[in-house]
Amino acid sequence: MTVLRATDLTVRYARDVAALRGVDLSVEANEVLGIVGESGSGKSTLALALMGLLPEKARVDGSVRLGARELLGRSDAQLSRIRGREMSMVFQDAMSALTPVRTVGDQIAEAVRVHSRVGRAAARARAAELLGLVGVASRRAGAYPHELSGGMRQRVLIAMAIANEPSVLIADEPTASLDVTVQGQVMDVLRAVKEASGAAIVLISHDLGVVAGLADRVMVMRAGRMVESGPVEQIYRAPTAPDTVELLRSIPRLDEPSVRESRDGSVVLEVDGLVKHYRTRRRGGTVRAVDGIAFDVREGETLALVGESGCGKTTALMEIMRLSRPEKGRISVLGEDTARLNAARRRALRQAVQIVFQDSRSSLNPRMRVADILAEPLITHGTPVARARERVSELLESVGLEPGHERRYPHSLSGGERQRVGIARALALEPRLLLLDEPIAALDASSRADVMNLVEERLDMACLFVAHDLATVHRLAHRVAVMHLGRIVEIGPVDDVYGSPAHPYTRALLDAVPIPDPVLARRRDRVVLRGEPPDLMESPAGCRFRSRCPRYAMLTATERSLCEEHDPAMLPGTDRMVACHHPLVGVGTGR
Amino acid sequence: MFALTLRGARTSLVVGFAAAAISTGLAAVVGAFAGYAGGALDRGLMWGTDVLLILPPLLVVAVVRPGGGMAALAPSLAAFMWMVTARAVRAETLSLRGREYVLAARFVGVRAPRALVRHVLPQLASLLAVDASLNVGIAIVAESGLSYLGLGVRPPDVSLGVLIADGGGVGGAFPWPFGFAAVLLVVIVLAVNLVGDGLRDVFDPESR
Amino acid sequence: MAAFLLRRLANRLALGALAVSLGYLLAAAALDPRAGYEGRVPRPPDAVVDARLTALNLNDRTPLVDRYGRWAAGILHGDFGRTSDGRPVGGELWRRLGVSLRLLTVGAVLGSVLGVLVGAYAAMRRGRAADRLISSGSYLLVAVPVFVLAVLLQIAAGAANDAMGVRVFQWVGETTPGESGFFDRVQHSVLPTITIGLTQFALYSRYQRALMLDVLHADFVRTARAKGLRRRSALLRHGLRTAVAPMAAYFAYASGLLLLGGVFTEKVFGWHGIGEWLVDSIGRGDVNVVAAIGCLAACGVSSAGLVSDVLHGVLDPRVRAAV
Repeated sequence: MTVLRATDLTVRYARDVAALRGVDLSVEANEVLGIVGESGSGKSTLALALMGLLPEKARVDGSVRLGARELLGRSDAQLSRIRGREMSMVFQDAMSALTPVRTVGDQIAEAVRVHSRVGRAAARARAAELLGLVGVASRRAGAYPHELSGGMRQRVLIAMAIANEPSVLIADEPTASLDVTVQGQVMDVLRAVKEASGAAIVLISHDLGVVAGLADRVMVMRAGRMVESGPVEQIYRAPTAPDTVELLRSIPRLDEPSVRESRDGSVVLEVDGLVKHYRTRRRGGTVRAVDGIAFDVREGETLALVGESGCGKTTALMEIMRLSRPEKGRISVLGEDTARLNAARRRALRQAVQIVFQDSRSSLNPRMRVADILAEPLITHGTPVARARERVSELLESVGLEPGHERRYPHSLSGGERQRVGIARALALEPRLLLLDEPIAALDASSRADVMNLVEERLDMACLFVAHDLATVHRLAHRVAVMHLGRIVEIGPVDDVYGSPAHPYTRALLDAVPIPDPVLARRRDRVVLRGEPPDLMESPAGCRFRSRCPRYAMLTATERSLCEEHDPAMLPGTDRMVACHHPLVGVGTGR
Repeated sequence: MFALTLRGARTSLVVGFAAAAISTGLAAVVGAFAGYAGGALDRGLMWGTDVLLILPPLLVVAVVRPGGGMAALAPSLAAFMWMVTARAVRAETLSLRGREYVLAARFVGVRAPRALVRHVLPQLASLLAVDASLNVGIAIVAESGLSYLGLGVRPPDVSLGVLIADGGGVGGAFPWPFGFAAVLLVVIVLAVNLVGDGLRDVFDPESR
Repeated sequence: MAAFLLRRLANRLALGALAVSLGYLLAAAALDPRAGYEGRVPRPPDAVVDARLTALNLNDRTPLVDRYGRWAAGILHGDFGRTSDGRPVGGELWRRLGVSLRLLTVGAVLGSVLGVLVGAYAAMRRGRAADRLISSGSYLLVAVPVFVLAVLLQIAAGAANDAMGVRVFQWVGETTPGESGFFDRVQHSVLPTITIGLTQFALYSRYQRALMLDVLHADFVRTARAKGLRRRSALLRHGLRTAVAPMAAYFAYASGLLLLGGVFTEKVFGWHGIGEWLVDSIGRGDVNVVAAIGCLAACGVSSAGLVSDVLHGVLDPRVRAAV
């Protein structure tokens, strides 16, 4: 039975600007329709048009039918009786989608009370029950949104949307901006909702990998139009539209073999026992952002540093970039201890160490032209102006930009183009060590693949590549270090670590990588982490991972005592190391 | 009388612009220093700013100003206007200092003064321009207010405030000197405020 | 929250004490009470003037530090010293404070509450006729200095009285001499209250409108509508509730302007409040009065700041967490 059907849906903002051009869709009860497209493809506009929540200036034509009723053209008052009761929506970016000054329980209870005559107490009880359903402890009902983690906020939004058991649920990027491990949890909640309620679900995402595990049918959008639609297996196995192929290609896959051969050069970067703590005024505590990490990077080698947001990986990069005495531990670059550098040596060494930032929008000065941005490092280090100008042209060409881009300002470039400028700036001084801080995390699917290819081509120096998931770095890195709560828990060659992870956390990160294959995605046996990404302020005795550790849950009491009392140490020695008392595979740490 | 009003307006404008320039300049120096240097200097400067914020402005102006003379009026008006701006400049400098493109510049080896000039100051310029233009309005109102109370410009000098005070006491019938001066004052302040708001719209990155 | 408040309180007390001292030093250094005595006819002998000034702690030939010490010791015992004609400052100060509060309270409360509501309303009707009218009205009001506004109101009231043939509005003093009825007081306070109210209204409505515009298209308002709330109730229950919180921080600033506006209003309408006293005392070089008023104003501004902190904390849980 078709619950929701849109025909020839068109949305215009100004006279000639159509955000949506003649889109048709239908969803049945107990069916999940995945809608996939890049940002700007019109998928969020589509969701809002279905809900009747577009801004007033938007003109909507066509038809949206919920059951037998036409929704277009109804007044706000009429629609408000349908919204939240028969049709509801889960928004992306839960931090801004929840009212910051009211408790989450209150906000869920309101969703109940809008549509039924129940008392405050009953609504509150229902809110607590709903929170339980989506896996949030019901005592958190009194919390404000900023007191919850990203994953929990997203669950609250889901609880709010299912409060009145709607027949249609629209989820707009419900897992964007979440860590991979939490993404999996949220998708599991949606799956449970589907099975329990039999609602028709419209699942919107920019990532085909996310949709693969849940959708029955998939629709691919581009520039306000549907370009392809069909059963999920067909879309993934035999895509016909070039946009679908492109989207599929942009997803990094773990099942492709790593192509990089490792090399044995001299050590370029050596980090030993690095510590960086922040003192916070909140609760007067100390954030142990980086809490004793050690690794090295060799000439021509790429080391990937992977972990959830807040694990301290960016802090580690910044400590290296400062090129001065760290709080504790030792950093040496090209054999020079950074604690012993004088100002002149440090400046000279900066030529050799460069960084590419995550967000190219904030890392390029908005008031400088591309040419000036690229010339700055050259001129700072004494290149004559005429030579610098030539070099800027060379750089632009080498990162695949046109000479015409020289005169442009960053805001007039696309995200991918801006990131190319960021890479060109880092390459300008021909560094021997390049640090990359999630260079593709903020990019669209299509530019992701391009920028990744560019990085891959240009990576002939020593590289430290920071990423929040294991899939991105699979193809690029020679070695990988997995970081958790300011520590490295496992480090080793890519093929070894990916092939047989020794630390339960590494295993969980690998399992959380979405597989863009509906059959494999549904069949695989995953280890899902229970808890939330860690709070860096807490540092319990013993192993810091144990509260979330799936392996710890299965240990005997005597085995557990080791985890509870002793902080697992990483023993120095061979190529492959793990900091776990009960590793999944033996790696010969000498223990 | 027309001539008198114009002379009054000129006085008010001169004092207003001078006070705004001094106040914004002072705010820029104090705010940027505190923000960029941080540490003890920052704390000290901000404490001083807070103390001045607590003092009643009328007291500062009326008391600091020794004797008459327009030359002294502008600086003393500025003395109570700069604090809020200084705090804003400091906050902006602090946030700019941590911006990634400023970091990027430092990481390629750009020295601090050059980074300040190339990457921090251009962003502050818009804030300061807007602030200066809005301060002109505040200063003009403040000047005429003081003169109205007999604490600002004193005869034989005239300003709009003096004229309003002379004409306002009559009551009942519409007194012409008051009317002229009051309308002119309101128009000037409106115009200055419009320019300020216009500048803000131009500089506001959201509107581009 | 309690620890946070205590810390803020301590900080404000320290700042306040410093500001008050600075106020006294400024006043004592710059004002010249001797001129007032020497200008008398017949001019008293120097020795008499000196003795009198010394008795009042006003003698500019005593080192500033000594005068400050004596004054500060007095303040700590609640003694504000004496005026230049020998009366205690304290009693007069509290009497006049009452007058000023009667003048300011009603106007300030009405002006700020109406300002917040009307500002929010204008934002919700953005671009429509109502919004244009409110926005341009408050824009104009902000540009009109208090004393011009007060005089304009007097002129308008005069015209209204003439038209009705009865003196409905009164604008000199707090009461008509010889009368003390409630109605008479109301008659006298209408115009000053409107003056204060309008200036506060202009400030609050402009700021609240800007804040409300920010949340008009906020994601959480959309979420509220997706739950089934109508646009207006979503905007009121979620939008306004969020947008009113930063207003608390603005409160301290606006109350500073309120005090300043009070000075002019008292002067124009002939109310014998604190503001009028300050202006007259500066003219007379009456150091102790000026310093005492400085003290009072510093307390006023500091407690407005504290109230502002508390309000902000109550209205916005994120502020509580951040400190």
